[in-house]
Amino acid sequence: MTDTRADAAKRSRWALLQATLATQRRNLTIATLIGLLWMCGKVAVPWLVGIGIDQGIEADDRVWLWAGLVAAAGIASGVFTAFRRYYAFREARWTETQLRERLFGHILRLHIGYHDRSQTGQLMSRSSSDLQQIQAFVVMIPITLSNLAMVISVTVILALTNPLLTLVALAPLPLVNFAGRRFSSSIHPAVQAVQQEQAELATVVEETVSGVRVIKGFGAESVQSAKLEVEADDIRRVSIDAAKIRAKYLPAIELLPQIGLIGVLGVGGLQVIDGTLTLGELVSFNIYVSLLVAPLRMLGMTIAWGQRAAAAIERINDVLDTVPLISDPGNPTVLPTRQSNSALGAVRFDGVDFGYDDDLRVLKNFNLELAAGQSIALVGGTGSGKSTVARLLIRFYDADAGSITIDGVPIGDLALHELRRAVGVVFEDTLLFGDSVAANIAFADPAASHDAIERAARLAGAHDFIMGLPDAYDTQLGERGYSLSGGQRQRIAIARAILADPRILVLDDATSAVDPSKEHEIRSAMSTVMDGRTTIVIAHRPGTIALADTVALVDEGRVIATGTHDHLLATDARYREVLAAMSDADRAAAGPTGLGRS
Amino acid sequence: MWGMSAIEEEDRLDADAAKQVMRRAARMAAPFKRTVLSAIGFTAMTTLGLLMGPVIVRYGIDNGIKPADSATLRTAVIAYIVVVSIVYVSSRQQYIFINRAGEGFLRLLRIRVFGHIQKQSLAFFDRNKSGVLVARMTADIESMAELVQWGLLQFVSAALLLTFSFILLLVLSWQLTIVALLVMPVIVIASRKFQRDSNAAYLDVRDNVGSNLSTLQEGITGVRVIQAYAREPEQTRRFEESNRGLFRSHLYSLRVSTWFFGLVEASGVIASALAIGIGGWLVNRGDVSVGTAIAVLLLLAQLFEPVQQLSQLYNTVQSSTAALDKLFGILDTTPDVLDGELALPASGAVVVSAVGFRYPETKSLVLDDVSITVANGERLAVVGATGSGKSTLAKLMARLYDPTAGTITFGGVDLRDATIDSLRQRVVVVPQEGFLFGGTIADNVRVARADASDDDVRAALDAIGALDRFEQFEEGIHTEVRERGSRLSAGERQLVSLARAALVDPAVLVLDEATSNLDPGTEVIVEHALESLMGSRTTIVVAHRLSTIRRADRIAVIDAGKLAELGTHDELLALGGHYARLASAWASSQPN
Repeated sequence: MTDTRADAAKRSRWALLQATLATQRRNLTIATLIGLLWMCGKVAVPWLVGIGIDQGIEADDRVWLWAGLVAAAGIASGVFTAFRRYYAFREARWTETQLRERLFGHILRLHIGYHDRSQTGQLMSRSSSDLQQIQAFVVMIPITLSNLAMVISVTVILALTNPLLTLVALAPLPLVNFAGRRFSSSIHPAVQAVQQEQAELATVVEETVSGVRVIKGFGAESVQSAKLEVEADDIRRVSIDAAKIRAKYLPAIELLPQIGLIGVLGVGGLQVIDGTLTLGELVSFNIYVSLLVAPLRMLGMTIAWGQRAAAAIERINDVLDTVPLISDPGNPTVLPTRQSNSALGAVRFDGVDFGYDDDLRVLKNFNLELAAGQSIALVGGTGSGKSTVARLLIRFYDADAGSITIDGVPIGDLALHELRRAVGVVFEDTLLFGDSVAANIAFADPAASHDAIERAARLAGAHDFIMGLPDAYDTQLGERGYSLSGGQRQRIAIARAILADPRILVLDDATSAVDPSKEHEIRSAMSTVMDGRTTIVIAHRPGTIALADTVALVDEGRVIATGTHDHLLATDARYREVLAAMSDADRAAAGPTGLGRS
Repeated sequence: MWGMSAIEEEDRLDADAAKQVMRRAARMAAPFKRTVLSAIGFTAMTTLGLLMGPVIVRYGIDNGIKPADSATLRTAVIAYIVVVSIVYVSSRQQYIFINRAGEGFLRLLRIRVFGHIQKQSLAFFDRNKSGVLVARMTADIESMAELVQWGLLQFVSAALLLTFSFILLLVLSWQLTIVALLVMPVIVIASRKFQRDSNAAYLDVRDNVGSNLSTLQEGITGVRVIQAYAREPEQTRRFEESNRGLFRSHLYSLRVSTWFFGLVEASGVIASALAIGIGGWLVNRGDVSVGTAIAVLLLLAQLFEPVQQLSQLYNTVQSSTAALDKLFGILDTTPDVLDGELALPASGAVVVSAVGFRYPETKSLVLDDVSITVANGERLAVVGATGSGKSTLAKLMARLYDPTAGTITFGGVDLRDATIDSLRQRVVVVPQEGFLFGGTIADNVRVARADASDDDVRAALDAIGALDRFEQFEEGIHTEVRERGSRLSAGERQLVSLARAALVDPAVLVLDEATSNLDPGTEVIVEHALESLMGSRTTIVVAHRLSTIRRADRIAVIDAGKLAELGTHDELLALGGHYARLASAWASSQPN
């Protein structure tokens, strides 16, 4: 599978960029045309200067006319310089913008199995630094085209005027291009080495700051300082290595054209003495040589950038070519709607097999049946598979065998949107978005009224603390906003699920981060929400078990016993064992009321 | 968008503050004075050499070409070759010297700031988010790298080029200098406007990049919640909004900067045109030679690029000054836990008398008038509810903070009067979680005593009965623990953490009992390790488990910052107060 993907990437390496650029064809053409006008202005200047010297200064003939023409050509090339730059950058930014949106949309649609395997940082750099590389390359497209046009036309003009002098003047210039390419390819690894060392220093700083209690406790400051000094020395060393590469190439690139200028002075000077060249032509040769330096230097860089952009495109293609494994069925069925007085939300797991990896089964012939409105607590040890049940129910993963149905409809036949709206999950770890409290609660329905939001918050026992926040429901949360305690976050998550009003609710250890003294408040909130709603409680603590009507004991991927808490407690030895382990963990984590951790 | 004004304020210094920062940086760079001077010397040489080009051309035209003297022309060509060779050599040297100085300066800055951060007390780390401290040490210092690598050099060479050119122009012809003076003001005014606008645009772009990245990150890390609530379309729409915002700010920045490049380009050519016009007039009046007019023309062509470079440098200089200012802010923070002068005795009682504590900038007391004497060799369990202050009391006993009232002494010496070194040898805190650093198991144990040999490390591991477990690894105690110790289990991490304490062999042990759950097998080993570590040492343990509490000699119950009860298990039960209530709540929660 990886092989086919690699092949596809190779085939479509440029196809993606071509397709994106195709939509910008008109503006890119305009940019290139402007570039050609720019080229005309630039090329005219040295020619007019030459005539100005010969006619205006040497022959004293209408010197201000020639000066005026030079100025006019200068203004034209200035105007077109600005426009060329503007169009080139604008189009490149637009390419970047479009690609980033495509990438983001695709990442959000990718199956959770993909996200389990990929690192956030990797995906982030696809949509930031990789797109930067592409952007830098797209800028160069119209600019390089007009630069090339300029190089060719200047060479032709010069060759027509004086072939020998052209050869002398331009001979060193290809070396500029060559040195530019060599420079780009040798500075790149050096820069990467610097970044690598910087990352290593960052690791030392990071572990020091996070482990400051240990360091202070043992007075180990000098150990960390010694580590940091090593890293700081390394950074200096590799940075100076990089500087040596710059020192080698940059002055050479800068000075190579001077060789052409010297040649023009020597050979051209003799020609002027012979009378085969005018002084004005000599000067315009001189200016033409300087004119070609920047474009040639850029051509060298464009090639290096093109290579880097190609690598970036390949990495982006890898993401875009990944087909979401979980997607809508071709002809989605809809869930039955409420008819007269029959309740909704029956769930059935029938002979479900599942493993995250091929060689490790997490669920084995898992069977579970819930009538509409029934609540059940899944109890089991670590690794029993109980948390996986919720992930299969909302199709984060597809079961390897067996069937899962909601109200008789196999979940694979439902549109993902409908399935996930029907099942509300309160996750173990609560994620809040960088938005207001209200928006975080109204996550399922951004158009929800303030009353609905407040009602959900009240039910989740969150209203009171929300009113105590600086801007109440408008308080900004998330990384850059106000930070809430674990229990508060949990209650926001519950409110979020309440507002979604799903026909099936899944609570995964929803109280683990809650202060013990608040736990009963949340439990009562939860039992209000669960009332009459099909609920699966994934219980990690004894207290939560009481919320559900019945208990299913999960062990090694199967339900091994079902019944009420009291019944299982009386009849099942394994249940007592799991419960005892759970109580231990519970007590260690928080202690009985009042003896919590501080 | 309230974030934006904060960022601008933080990142923009007024001219006075910027000057002060620069002066201070210059003082700090004093050790590199000679290197910097050499760099400037080479830069001056390079610049002068580059300016010689037009002068040599003038000489060649006026003395070689015009009088048809090919020998003089040859001399000019040879002189040109010599000058270019010298320029190449000095130009290489300028890069090397400026980088040597600059990277040396950054290295010094890294080491100093880090050393200073480490000198701060825990209170400092409570106040400053870890992300901010890491950013100071990385992004802020790295933001200066660009300046160091080529910025300073470009700045100096552009400034020198402008000055030298002006002088050269005056020498060549004062009349033609007017040409430069006619065009320069336009460029100067334009570049000031460019600086202002592009700086604002730069900040705007940076702000947009930041919020775009955080929307992106939120989308990726929150993908499970987003998919569970079927919010993909809405989230994509929100991302598009921020993405388009970023695009618009890029466009704005383009608009305010692009005209400037055109203007510089046009001005350069207009200056040449003026040189031809005025030069032609002067040549024909016989005031200047053709060679001079041409030399001025060529000089002017070189003059406009540095101006453009200087304006582009402006943003780099500004953000570097802002970064330096933040770093100096850290260097200016005086550590609030200072070293004393006395050595602590080998053993003694820990006496807490009338201790009060409050965190800086808060009103409520965390601890209030607490007095306890822990006898030499005694084991004291500290219990209390969440937020009662029991952990703070433990931290004060190890002088991770200083009490705001009262004193804590060991063997009669106030902890504040003791040297930090002797304090760390006598009193050791073992944190709840086994925090591991990058490196091997041995490196991690050695955190406690840098000069310990491998045998010392083995002995420490052996003392807590954990040596066998680690020797089983292929590379034994030299096994890399990987990032944050991910190679080891939670229990093994705790063992390493306990071995650190054993390596120090302190008189007093302060334990914050681990609350995380371990698998039963490891649990036994860790408990055994703890027990052998405590041995007959004076131990203060912040306890969460009944078993630990019952094994203590005495129990201190902290309630709302006060010492509520103190005594043995039986005494406190008999007292029928806080502890009795806690104990009965505990008993009733045991599984049936």
